[in-house]
Amino acid sequence: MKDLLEFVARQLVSDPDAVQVHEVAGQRSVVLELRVAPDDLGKVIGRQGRVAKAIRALMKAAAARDGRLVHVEIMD
Amino acid sequence: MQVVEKVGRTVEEAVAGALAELGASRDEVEVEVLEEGTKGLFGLLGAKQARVRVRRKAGVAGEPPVMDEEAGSGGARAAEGELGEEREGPGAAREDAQLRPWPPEEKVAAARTFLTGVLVRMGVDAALESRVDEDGFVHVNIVGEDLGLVIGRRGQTLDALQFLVNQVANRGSGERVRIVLDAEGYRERRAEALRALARRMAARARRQGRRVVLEPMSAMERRIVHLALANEPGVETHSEGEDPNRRVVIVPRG
Repeated sequence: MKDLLEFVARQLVSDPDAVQVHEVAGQRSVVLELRVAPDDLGKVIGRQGRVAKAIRALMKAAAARDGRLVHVEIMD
Repeated sequence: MQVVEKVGRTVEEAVAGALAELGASRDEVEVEVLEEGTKGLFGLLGAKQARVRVRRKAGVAGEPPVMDEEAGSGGARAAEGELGEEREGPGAAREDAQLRPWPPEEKVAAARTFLTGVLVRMGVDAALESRVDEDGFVHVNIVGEDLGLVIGRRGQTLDALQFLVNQVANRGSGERVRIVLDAEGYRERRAEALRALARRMAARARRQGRRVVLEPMSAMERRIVHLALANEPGVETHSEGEDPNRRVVIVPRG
Protein backbone atom coordinates (compact mmCIF):
# COMPACT_ATOMS: atom_id res chain seq x y z
CA MET A 1 0.00 0.00 0.00
CA LYS A 2 2.65 2.43 1.13
CA ASP A 3 4.82 1.21 -1.69
CA LEU A 4 2.14 1.98 -4.28
CA LEU A 5 1.57 5.51 -3.02
CA GLU A 6 5.30 6.21 -2.94
CA PHE A 7 5.65 4.97 -6.49
CA VAL A 8 2.74 7.02 -7.84
CA ALA A 9 3.89 10.19 -6.05
CA ARG A 10 7.47 9.81 -7.30
CA GLN A 11 6.22 9.50 -10.86
CA LEU A 12 4.28 12.74 -10.53
CA VAL A 13 6.78 15.07 -8.88
CA SER A 14 9.98 16.80 -9.99
CA ASP A 15 11.87 15.85 -6.84
CA PRO A 16 11.23 12.13 -6.26
CA ASP A 17 13.84 11.91 -3.48
CA ALA A 18 11.76 14.21 -1.31
CA VAL A 19 8.74 11.90 -1.41
CA GLN A 20 7.97 10.28 1.95
CA VAL A 21 5.03 8.18 3.01
CA HIS A 22 4.29 7.47 6.63
CA GLU A 23 1.87 4.65 7.36
CA VAL A 24 -0.36 4.68 10.42
CA ALA A 25 -2.16 1.36 10.60
CA GLY A 26 -5.43 0.98 12.46
CA GLN A 27 -7.54 -2.15 12.82
CA ARG A 28 -9.39 -2.00 9.57
CA SER A 29 -8.08 1.23 8.18
CA VAL A 30 -4.77 2.71 7.20
CA VAL A 31 -3.77 6.34 7.13
CA LEU A 32 -1.05 7.20 4.66
CA GLU A 33 0.64 10.54 5.19
CA LEU A 34 2.24 11.80 2.01
CA ARG A 35 5.00 14.38 2.07
CA VAL A 36 6.57 15.94 -1.01
CA ALA A 37 8.86 18.89 -1.69
CA PRO A 38 6.95 22.18 -1.21
CA ASP A 39 7.28 23.00 -4.92
CA ASP A 40 5.73 19.66 -5.80
CA LEU A 41 2.57 20.04 -3.73
CA GLY A 42 0.64 21.25 -6.76
CA LYS A 43 1.68 18.16 -8.70
CA VAL A 44 0.10 15.77 -6.21
CA ILE A 45 -2.97 17.94 -5.63
CA GLY A 46 -3.68 19.32 -9.10
CA ARG A 47 -6.21 21.84 -10.31
CA GLN A 48 -9.31 21.61 -8.14
CA GLY A 49 -7.69 18.68 -6.36
CA ARG A 50 -8.10 16.42 -9.35
CA VAL A 51 -4.77 14.66 -8.98
CA ALA A 52 -5.33 14.10 -5.25
CA LYS A 53 -8.78 12.73 -6.02
CA ALA A 54 -7.39 10.30 -8.58
CA ILE A 55 -4.65 9.17 -6.17
CA ARG A 56 -7.25 8.52 -3.47
CA ALA A 57 -9.49 6.59 -5.88
CA LEU A 58 -6.57 4.41 -6.90
CA MET A 59 -5.47 3.79 -3.31
CA LYS A 60 -9.03 2.95 -2.32
CA ALA A 61 -9.15 0.27 -4.99
CA ALA A 62 -5.81 -1.17 -3.92
CA ALA A 63 -6.93 -1.29 -0.27
CA ALA A 64 -10.32 -2.81 -1.05
CA ARG A 65 -8.48 -5.92 -2.15
CA ASP A 66 -7.47 -6.60 1.46
CA GLY A 67 -10.85 -5.41 2.74
CA ARG A 68 -9.29 -2.33 4.24
CA LEU A 69 -10.03 1.35 4.16
CA VAL A 70 -7.29 3.76 3.26
CA HIS A 71 -7.06 7.43 3.92
CA VAL A 72 -4.47 9.51 2.09
CA GLU A 73 -3.40 12.72 3.80
CA ILE A 74 -1.29 15.17 1.87
CA MET A 75 0.88 16.99 4.40
CA ASP A 76 2.09 20.52 3.88
CA MET B 1 6.18 21.27 -59.69
CA GLN B 2 6.32 23.14 -56.43
CA VAL B 3 2.60 23.44 -55.86
CA VAL B 4 0.41 20.84 -54.21
CA GLU B 5 -3.25 20.72 -53.31
CA LYS B 6 -4.28 18.79 -50.26
CA VAL B 7 -7.43 18.04 -48.34
CA GLY B 8 -7.70 17.39 -44.64
CA ARG B 9 -10.09 17.58 -41.75
CA THR B 10 -8.79 21.02 -40.90
CA VAL B 11 -6.81 23.62 -42.79
CA GLU B 12 -3.86 22.91 -40.52
CA GLU B 13 -3.99 19.23 -41.24
CA ALA B 14 -4.18 19.78 -44.98
CA VAL B 15 -1.25 22.20 -44.82
CA ALA B 16 0.78 19.73 -42.77
CA GLY B 17 0.14 17.06 -45.39
CA ALA B 18 1.18 19.40 -48.17
CA LEU B 19 4.36 20.41 -46.33
CA ALA B 20 5.28 16.78 -45.87
CA GLU B 21 4.83 16.18 -49.56
CA LEU B 22 6.86 19.21 -50.55
CA GLY B 23 9.46 18.61 -47.89
CA ALA B 24 9.19 22.27 -47.03
CA SER B 25 8.77 24.12 -43.78
CA ARG B 26 5.90 26.45 -43.04
CA ASP B 27 7.85 29.65 -43.76
CA GLU B 28 9.05 28.44 -47.15
CA VAL B 29 5.58 28.32 -48.64
CA GLU B 30 2.51 30.34 -49.45
CA VAL B 31 -0.79 28.83 -48.45
CA GLU B 32 -4.01 29.47 -50.26
CA VAL B 33 -7.13 28.21 -48.54
CA LEU B 34 -9.51 26.91 -51.20
CA GLU B 35 -12.11 25.64 -48.81
CA GLU B 36 -12.26 26.25 -45.07
CA GLY B 37 -13.81 22.97 -44.13
CA THR B 38 -16.35 22.69 -41.35
CA LYS B 39 -16.08 20.51 -38.37
CA GLY B 40 -19.61 19.23 -38.30
CA LEU B 41 -20.70 17.66 -35.07
CA PHE B 42 -17.60 16.79 -33.08
CA GLY B 43 -15.55 16.77 -36.22
CA LEU B 44 -17.23 13.66 -37.48
CA LEU B 45 -20.71 14.13 -38.83
CA GLY B 46 -21.53 16.54 -41.59
CA ALA B 47 -17.92 17.59 -41.70
CA LYS B 48 -16.62 19.16 -44.87
CA GLN B 49 -12.97 18.71 -45.67
CA ALA B 50 -10.64 21.65 -45.86
CA ARG B 51 -8.77 22.18 -49.13
CA VAL B 52 -5.56 24.13 -49.50
CA ARG B 53 -3.11 24.94 -52.24
CA VAL B 54 0.47 25.20 -51.04
CA ARG B 55 3.12 26.80 -53.21
CA ARG B 56 6.82 26.93 -52.51
CA LYS B 57 7.92 30.55 -52.42
CA ALA B 58 10.09 31.75 -55.24
CA GLY B 59 13.77 31.85 -54.44
CA VAL B 60 13.64 29.01 -51.95
CA ALA B 61 15.57 26.06 -53.24
CA GLY B 62 13.69 22.83 -53.61
CA GLU B 63 15.09 20.66 -50.89
CA PRO B 64 14.57 16.94 -50.77
CA PRO B 65 11.80 15.84 -48.44
CA VAL B 66 13.17 15.37 -44.94
CA MET B 67 10.40 13.18 -43.65
CA ASP B 68 9.91 9.57 -44.53
CA GLU B 69 6.44 8.26 -45.22
CA GLU B 70 5.71 7.20 -41.70
CA ALA B 71 6.94 10.32 -39.99
CA GLY B 72 5.13 12.45 -42.53
CA SER B 73 1.76 10.99 -41.74
CA GLY B 74 2.58 11.25 -38.06
CA GLY B 75 3.24 14.92 -38.54
CA ALA B 76 -0.15 15.37 -40.08
CA ARG B 77 -1.65 13.66 -37.08
CA ALA B 78 0.25 15.86 -34.69
CA ALA B 79 -1.29 18.79 -36.47
CA GLU B 80 -4.75 17.65 -35.54
CA GLY B 81 -6.54 18.63 -32.43
CA GLU B 82 -6.16 17.10 -29.04
CA LEU B 83 -9.04 16.45 -26.74
CA GLY B 84 -8.75 19.39 -24.43
CA GLU B 85 -9.95 18.98 -20.88
CA GLU B 86 -13.12 20.98 -21.39
CA ARG B 87 -13.86 19.81 -24.88
CA GLU B 88 -16.20 17.09 -25.93
CA GLY B 89 -14.62 16.30 -29.24
CA PRO B 90 -11.26 16.28 -30.92
CA GLY B 91 -11.56 19.42 -32.94
CA ALA B 92 -9.15 22.06 -31.73
CA ALA B 93 -6.86 22.61 -34.66
CA ARG B 94 -3.28 23.39 -33.92
CA GLU B 95 -1.75 26.62 -34.99
CA ASP B 96 1.77 25.41 -35.42
CA ALA B 97 1.64 22.38 -37.61
CA GLN B 98 5.01 20.81 -37.03
CA LEU B 99 6.31 17.69 -38.57
CA ARG B 100 7.72 15.23 -36.12
CA PRO B 101 7.09 11.66 -35.17
CA TRP B 102 3.88 11.06 -33.29
CA PRO B 103 3.39 10.08 -30.58
CA PRO B 104 6.56 11.20 -28.81
CA GLU B 105 8.33 8.03 -27.81
CA GLU B 106 9.54 9.18 -24.40
CA LYS B 107 6.01 10.07 -23.32
CA VAL B 108 4.62 6.70 -24.29
CA ALA B 109 7.55 5.03 -22.50
CA ALA B 110 6.84 7.07 -19.35
CA ALA B 111 3.20 6.00 -19.49
CA ARG B 112 4.10 2.33 -19.79
CA THR B 113 6.61 2.53 -16.93
CA PHE B 114 3.99 4.15 -14.74
CA LEU B 115 1.24 1.66 -15.55
CA THR B 116 3.49 -1.36 -15.16
CA GLY B 117 4.70 -0.06 -11.80
CA VAL B 118 1.19 0.53 -10.54
CA LEU B 119 -0.12 -2.85 -11.70
CA VAL B 120 2.77 -4.74 -10.09
CA ARG B 121 2.24 -2.92 -6.80
CA MET B 122 -1.49 -3.65 -6.90
CA GLY B 123 -0.66 -7.31 -7.33
CA VAL B 124 -2.31 -7.41 -10.75
CA ASP B 125 -0.76 -9.72 -13.29
CA ALA B 126 -1.38 -8.06 -16.64
CA ALA B 127 0.22 -6.97 -19.88
CA LEU B 128 -0.15 -3.75 -21.88
CA GLU B 129 -1.12 -3.38 -25.50
CA SER B 130 -1.04 -0.03 -27.22
CA ARG B 131 -2.00 1.52 -30.52
CA VAL B 132 -2.43 5.04 -31.91
CA ASP B 133 -5.72 6.00 -33.52
CA GLU B 134 -6.32 8.32 -36.46
CA ASP B 135 -6.76 11.29 -34.12
CA GLY B 136 -3.35 10.67 -32.55
CA PHE B 137 -4.78 9.37 -29.26
CA VAL B 138 -2.71 6.61 -27.69
CA HIS B 139 -4.93 3.72 -26.64
CA VAL B 140 -3.48 1.48 -23.97
CA ASN B 141 -5.35 -1.70 -23.14
CA ILE B 142 -4.58 -3.64 -19.98
CA VAL B 143 -4.83 -7.33 -20.76
CA GLY B 144 -5.10 -9.96 -18.09
CA GLU B 145 -7.34 -12.00 -15.83
CA ASP B 146 -9.65 -10.57 -13.27
CA LEU B 147 -9.20 -6.87 -13.89
CA GLY B 148 -12.24 -5.81 -11.90
CA LEU B 149 -9.91 -4.23 -9.34
CA VAL B 150 -8.34 -2.05 -12.01
CA ILE B 151 -11.70 -1.06 -13.51
CA GLY B 152 -13.65 -0.38 -10.32
CA ARG B 153 -17.27 0.53 -9.93
CA ARG B 154 -18.49 2.21 -13.11
CA GLY B 155 -14.91 2.41 -14.25
CA GLN B 156 -13.89 4.80 -11.48
CA THR B 157 -10.53 3.22 -10.84
CA LEU B 158 -9.78 3.02 -14.55
CA ASP B 159 -10.67 6.70 -14.92
CA ALA B 160 -8.40 7.62 -12.00
CA LEU B 161 -5.56 5.61 -13.49
CA GLN B 162 -6.17 7.17 -16.90
CA PHE B 163 -6.04 10.66 -15.42
CA LEU B 164 -2.81 9.88 -13.56
CA VAL B 165 -1.09 8.28 -16.53
CA ASN B 166 -1.84 11.39 -18.60
CA GLN B 167 -0.36 13.56 -15.85
CA VAL B 168 2.78 11.45 -15.69
CA ALA B 169 3.27 11.19 -19.44
CA ASN B 170 2.82 14.93 -19.96
CA ARG B 171 4.93 16.02 -17.02
CA GLY B 172 7.70 17.35 -19.24
CA SER B 173 7.42 19.95 -21.96
CA GLY B 174 6.42 19.36 -25.55
CA GLU B 175 3.27 18.37 -27.32
CA ARG B 176 0.69 16.73 -25.07
CA VAL B 177 -0.21 13.13 -25.68
CA ARG B 178 -3.71 11.90 -24.90
CA ILE B 179 -3.79 8.44 -23.44
CA VAL B 180 -7.01 6.48 -23.41
CA LEU B 181 -6.79 3.62 -20.96
CA ASP B 182 -8.90 0.51 -21.17
CA ALA B 183 -8.97 -2.86 -19.43
CA GLU B 184 -10.46 -6.03 -20.87
CA GLY B 185 -12.30 -3.91 -23.44
CA TYR B 186 -14.35 -2.32 -20.65
CA ARG B 187 -14.70 1.03 -22.39
CA GLU B 188 -16.00 -0.49 -25.59
CA ARG B 189 -18.56 -2.52 -23.67
CA ARG B 190 -19.53 0.60 -21.74
CA ALA B 191 -19.81 2.57 -24.99
CA GLU B 192 -22.13 -0.09 -26.40
CA ALA B 193 -24.28 0.05 -23.25
CA LEU B 194 -24.39 3.86 -23.48
CA ARG B 195 -25.47 3.75 -27.11
CA ALA B 196 -28.27 1.32 -26.24
CA LEU B 197 -29.33 3.55 -23.34
CA ALA B 198 -29.27 6.60 -25.60
CA ARG B 199 -31.58 4.95 -28.12
CA ARG B 200 -34.00 3.81 -25.42
CA MET B 201 -34.13 7.25 -23.83
CA ALA B 202 -34.57 8.92 -27.23
CA ALA B 203 -37.58 6.67 -27.83
CA ARG B 204 -38.96 7.68 -24.45
CA ALA B 205 -38.47 11.40 -25.18
CA ARG B 206 -40.35 11.04 -28.47
CA ARG B 207 -43.12 8.93 -26.97
CA GLN B 208 -43.75 11.16 -23.99
CA GLY B 209 -42.99 14.39 -25.80
CA ARG B 210 -40.80 15.38 -22.84
CA ARG B 211 -37.12 15.97 -22.36
CA VAL B 212 -35.12 13.18 -20.77
CA VAL B 213 -32.16 14.00 -18.53
CA LEU B 214 -29.49 11.32 -18.24
CA GLU B 215 -27.16 10.55 -15.35
CA PRO B 216 -23.99 12.65 -14.97
CA MET B 217 -21.24 11.39 -17.27
CA SER B 218 -17.67 12.20 -18.18
CA ALA B 219 -16.95 14.23 -21.32
CA MET B 220 -16.02 11.08 -23.22
CA GLU B 221 -19.20 9.30 -22.24
CA ARG B 222 -21.34 12.32 -23.13
CA ARG B 223 -19.68 12.43 -26.50
CA ILE B 224 -20.63 8.80 -27.12
CA VAL B 225 -24.28 9.62 -26.35
CA HIS B 226 -24.32 12.76 -28.53
CA LEU B 227 -22.82 10.83 -31.43
CA ALA B 228 -25.21 7.92 -30.99
CA LEU B 229 -28.19 10.27 -31.35
CA ALA B 230 -26.78 12.66 -33.93
CA ASN B 231 -28.80 11.03 -36.71
CA GLU B 232 -31.70 9.91 -34.56
CA PRO B 233 -34.96 11.33 -35.95
CA GLY B 234 -37.18 13.47 -33.73
CA VAL B 235 -34.69 14.31 -31.00
CA GLU B 236 -31.86 16.71 -30.25
CA THR B 237 -29.24 16.46 -27.55
CA HIS B 238 -27.17 18.90 -25.56
CA SER B 239 -25.45 18.94 -22.17
CA GLU B 240 -26.36 20.87 -19.06
CA GLY B 241 -24.65 21.54 -15.75
CA GLU B 242 -21.04 21.67 -14.68
CA ASP B 243 -18.61 18.80 -14.35
CA PRO B 244 -18.69 16.42 -12.56
CA ASN B 245 -22.48 16.74 -12.71
CA ARG B 246 -22.80 17.60 -16.37
CA ARG B 247 -25.57 15.58 -18.01
CA VAL B 248 -26.84 14.90 -21.47
CA VAL B 249 -30.38 16.11 -22.11
CA ILE B 250 -32.46 14.57 -24.89
CA VAL B 251 -35.13 16.94 -26.22
CA PRO B 252 -37.97 15.91 -28.54
CA ARG B 253 -38.10 18.02 -31.67
CA GLY B 254 -41.03 19.16 -33.79
